[in-house]
Amino acid sequence: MPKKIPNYYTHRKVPVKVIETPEKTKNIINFDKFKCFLKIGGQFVFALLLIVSFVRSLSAFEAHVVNVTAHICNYSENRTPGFWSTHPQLYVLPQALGYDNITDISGAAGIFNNANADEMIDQFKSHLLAMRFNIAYFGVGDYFVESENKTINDIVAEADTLLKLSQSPPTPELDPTREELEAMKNLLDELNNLHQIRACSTVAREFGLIKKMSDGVGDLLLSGNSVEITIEEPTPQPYCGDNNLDEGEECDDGNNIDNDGCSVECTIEQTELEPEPESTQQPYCGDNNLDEGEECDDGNSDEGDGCSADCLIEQLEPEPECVSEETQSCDTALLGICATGTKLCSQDSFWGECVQDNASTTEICDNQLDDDCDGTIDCNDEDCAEDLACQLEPEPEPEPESYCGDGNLDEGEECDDGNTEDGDGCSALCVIEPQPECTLEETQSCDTSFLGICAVGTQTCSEQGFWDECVQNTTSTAEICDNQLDDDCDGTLDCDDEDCAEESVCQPEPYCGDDFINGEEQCDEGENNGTECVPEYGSSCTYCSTSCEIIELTGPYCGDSNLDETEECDDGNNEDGDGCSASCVIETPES
Amino acid sequence: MAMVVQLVALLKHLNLKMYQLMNNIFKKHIISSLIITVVIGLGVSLQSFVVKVEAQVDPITLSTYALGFGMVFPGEELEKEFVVNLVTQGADWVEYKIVQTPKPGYLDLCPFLEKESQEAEGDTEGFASLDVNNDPSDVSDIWRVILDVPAISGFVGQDHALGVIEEGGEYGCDIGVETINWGQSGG
Repeated sequence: MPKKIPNYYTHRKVPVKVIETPEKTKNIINFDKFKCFLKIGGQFVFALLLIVSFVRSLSAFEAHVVNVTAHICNYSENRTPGFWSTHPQLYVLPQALGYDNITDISGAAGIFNNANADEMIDQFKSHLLAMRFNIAYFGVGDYFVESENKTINDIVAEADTLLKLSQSPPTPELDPTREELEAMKNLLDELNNLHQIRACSTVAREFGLIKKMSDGVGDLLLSGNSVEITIEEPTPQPYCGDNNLDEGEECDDGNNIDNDGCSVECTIEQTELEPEPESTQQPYCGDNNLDEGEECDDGNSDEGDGCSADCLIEQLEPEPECVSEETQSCDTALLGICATGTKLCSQDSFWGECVQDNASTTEICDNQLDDDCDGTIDCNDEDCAEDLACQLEPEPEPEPESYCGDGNLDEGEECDDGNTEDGDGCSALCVIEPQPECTLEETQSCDTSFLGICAVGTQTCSEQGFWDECVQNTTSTAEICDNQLDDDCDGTLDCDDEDCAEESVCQPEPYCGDDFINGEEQCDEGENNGTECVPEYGSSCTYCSTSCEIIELTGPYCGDSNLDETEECDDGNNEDGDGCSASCVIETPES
Repeated sequence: MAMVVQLVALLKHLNLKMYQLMNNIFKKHIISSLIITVVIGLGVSLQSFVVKVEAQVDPITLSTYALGFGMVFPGEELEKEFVVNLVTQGADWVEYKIVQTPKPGYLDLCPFLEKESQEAEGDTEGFASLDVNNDPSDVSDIWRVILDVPAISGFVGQDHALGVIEEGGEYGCDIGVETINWGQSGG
């Protein structure tokens, strides 16, 4: 019986054989996949290891960051009324000036022409308009003025308010004083003179010149202190505060402050302060401006104040000026002493004419008064031209220039006798000349500076009054040895002259001490005369005295009663047996 | 009996299936799992290494991290300083460089900045170093940042030589101090 093989074995066998090949293929495929996977995985791992190998370096690239920031601003410009008055081509019009509106070049020029007017309000307007142009043209309105703690726009707004108050009908409690106007004018003046402003301006960037420059509309070149500006089309971008009613604005009063009727957003404000006139644009009676059709305009609509509510001049009863009979010092409008006067109040209480107190007189030329009332005093009055008091004192002669011969001892001069003649003690060159010593032909004894008989000379006075050379009177001869004269003028006389050495008259006579034994002399040893000799013991010696006599000296000896060096005794004799022998030896008695 | 035989056969079949299944699972997933494990292991080791590095990093500190020049004007030359300090507890030496990048949200100030090392140690922006092994006092470098304020286009003076920009405004630049390498002897 054949072994029954289960179906699944059959199934298994056949498929196994069939499947073996696919299995191998599959395995091969899987192996390839595995290899591929391993390859990819290996690459991945390698990449990872590579990354890991760099991890330390990467981690070491920790960066520390210093944030550096700066707000770079630009210089901007301001110009004075003087500049604007000569640069009408740069005007940005219209510009508000208080209640006025400057719409054309002539209007602006009129303002700038009054920049130096006496009226403070005129100066004020000039600087304010200049600043308006500076804001419109250079865009400096937003610049911050540290000293005032305000922007230029704020300052201009305040100035504009002051101007409006001054243009409004007089209100004592609101009207700006001259000092207030002057202070504001001075501030505007200072700011207008800051030609270069260091500040950051957002306005300038948004609306002002910088914007225009970036648009290529104009160009501005700074060069040291000079500025060249060329503008092709000075048309600033509209903005709130440019004094123009632009699109989107309810109002624009030319500033950026609130509570003045137009807000900083250019919306109309309802403010109780400072009600706006009915129209700032249209002239009206009471706007303080003399408009067409008006005889006057005193800024109000009051009657009886000289200008009627219709702006017609009113004839008013004058107010009494004074009390009747009252007097007051006054100015006669004359000159000098005639200027002071007195006026008297009339019966109808008005001052009469000013009557001068002093009548004019003839000009007194030295009283410091204008006596003749002609406006000139004393010597300034031509009437005093001939007056002695007004005679001009002769002008002092100009200091002469110093020169030789001017009589003054000037620098470099030894003398100056006031002339330029020689021979008068001071030469023509102002050098001291020697004074004359003698008169012509005069003679005098003189010393020839020689010796002996040659020393005596005679000198004669020259024509110039000076002594001539000394000429010796006696010529030298051979020396005579016994005449007490230096005949040969060699400075030695007679026997002192070596020329007389052999002359008998000059030989010396013998004498004790001349080392020669002369006459009665016993001896003569010259300089040694008088030098005593020293005799030895038991002997004698001789010497020559100063009188040339021989003197004998005896030395010590035995028996002279003196115990000499070699003696044992000396009893003054030369006998023996007396205790001292004849040889001065002590004798010993025999026992 | 037949039931038993069938049951045994079934079990063998299941065993075979299980074998095949396990074989497939092993082939398909084990290797990938192994790779994943390796990757995870590497990641873990990497993480541990990074943690180790982070514990030692920052061999330098800066004296300041902001230099504000404030409001400046064309033509001005302004200076400010910052100091790069070596953290000697972590490093004996460090090599670093200075790089600058425009500050996000600001106009670019970088072209107008100069950086000067204040010690005559040969440090440059591209390569600078601190090394206490060579010089025990070399623990800090002072860097001076000089801002040459450019002129604004349209307002350029004839004598202006410090660059030109198109507009004023807020300018900024990030000055980065990047460590190139560092080390610690004995460590």
